[in-house]
Amino acid sequence: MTLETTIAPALAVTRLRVEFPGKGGSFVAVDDVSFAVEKGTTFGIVGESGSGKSTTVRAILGLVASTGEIAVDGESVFSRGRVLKPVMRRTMQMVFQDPFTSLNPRRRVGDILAESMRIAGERSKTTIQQRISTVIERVGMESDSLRKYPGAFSGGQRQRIGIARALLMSPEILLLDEPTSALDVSVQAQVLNLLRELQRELGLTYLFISHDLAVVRYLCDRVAVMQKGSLVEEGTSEEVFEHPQEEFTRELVASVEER
Amino acid sequence: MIESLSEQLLRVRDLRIWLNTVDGPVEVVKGISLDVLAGECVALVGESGSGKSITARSLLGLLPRENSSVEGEITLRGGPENVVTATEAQLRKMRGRAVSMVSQDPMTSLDPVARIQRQLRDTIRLREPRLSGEQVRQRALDMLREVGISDPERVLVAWPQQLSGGLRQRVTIALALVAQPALLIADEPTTALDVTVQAQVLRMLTRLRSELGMGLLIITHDMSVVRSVADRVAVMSHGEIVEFGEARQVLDSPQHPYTRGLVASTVTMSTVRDRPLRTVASFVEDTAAAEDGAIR
Repeated sequence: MTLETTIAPALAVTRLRVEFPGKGGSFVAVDDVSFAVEKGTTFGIVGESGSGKSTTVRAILGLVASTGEIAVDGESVFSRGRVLKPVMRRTMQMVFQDPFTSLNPRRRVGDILAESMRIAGERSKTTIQQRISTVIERVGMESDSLRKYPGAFSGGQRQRIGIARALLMSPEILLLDEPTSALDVSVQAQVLNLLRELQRELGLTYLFISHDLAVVRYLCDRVAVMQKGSLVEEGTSEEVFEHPQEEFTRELVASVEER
Repeated sequence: MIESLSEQLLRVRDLRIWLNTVDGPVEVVKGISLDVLAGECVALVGESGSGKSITARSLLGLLPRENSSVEGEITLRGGPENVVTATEAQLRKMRGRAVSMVSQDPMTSLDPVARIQRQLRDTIRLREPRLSGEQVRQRALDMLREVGISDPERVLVAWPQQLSGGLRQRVTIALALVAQPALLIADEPTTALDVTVQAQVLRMLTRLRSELGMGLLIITHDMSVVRSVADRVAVMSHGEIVEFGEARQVLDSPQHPYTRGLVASTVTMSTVRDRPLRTVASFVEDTAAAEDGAIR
């Protein structure tokens, strides 16, 4: 190895392609998508419904069949047979739009969190309890929340629990799919602030998917615009929103700026 | 403010609503007053649980009587003396003509097993039973064109699920408008739509309002919607209207701490990046602290 080692991006997606078979031929949901996210930064993908942005995230996690290369710190996330490597299940974590749909309503929050650590391979009960307490406090929740059921929490609190669950295994990358879209504006502001603090303190890398241009502009360092499965434009937040090059991006920006 | 009754399409005075829960009745709307003038767009803005949607439903007399109780005065031009005390027959006569409603999810107001033409036809016939089949069809096509649908013939024979979200929302607006209501209540009409479609629907509502001289009451949580369409805005929090005034004025120099927090915490295309967002809680705390300071 030479001294001039180049640092690999935290997440590199190269020529990603997802096809869904259909009756009249297959449908290409993600078409030759490539981008790289530097460590500790936030990369946003904006697009309208059906543009392929959520499918891109699912493909990165190996939840849908895809072709192309996905690498974390220069290492492919897939092993032979294109199965996600077990270590990647810790490295990359996902936060959903509505965490409530992914929290079992009949189990206490503490049990739900403990279970996801056991599934990820953690055996020690003490480690699990300590880690859960640390994380739940870190997202700004009281420790007695752990004894309650998901139904006892507001949308913003549930999203904090969703973020806590994602943080349990000390991931490097969070894949955030519309994490604040279902929240009231005042709660959205709190969750966005929390995400920024966590990134700064833990050095996390974010892939942030949203249809909300203003939120993406606020939070993201770099932004890609997705339309019909392809990335039509990519650049820094300033470049894309202040000087959009593509017609579609200009149309998107204009539709929120006339407000 | 012009207070002559002839100008008012909607007049709400001291409206109170209780919902029955397992713990007994809970007051969710606590004595609000509101009016909408002819040709005007008023936005009722608030966060979830503020009581804005319950208020909207009560204006049409749509709250189920067995598990809610309503007090106060709701007067609509062309409607019964008081919607709160009106009979079901009076309410049926009022709905569609005096007031119509568009909801957030168009799928809930479209019949999934009827083509668009039947849904429009039934609504038109209800109001004007004497029109011929051809006249009804023409009226339906005109209405679809009116809401900005460029190929109304195709949409007329379509099933709701064959249409995109934006088209569906246009169709429900067409349905709400065929009876030419004096007032249209739109509950989060663009929340479920993509941003480019949102902008189109808002432009269309504004155009229809001036063309048809209709009043518009928009219920929303989205301050950017308020900015783009509303003449006046009523800010609702915990069942009360905390601020009511000209939209520009309220947005640019909000007076109530809650409104200030709401405006400041909204992320817009000009929000300063690399700086934490202010939250409603921080404004309310600041104000409380300032008031404490003033007392001391």
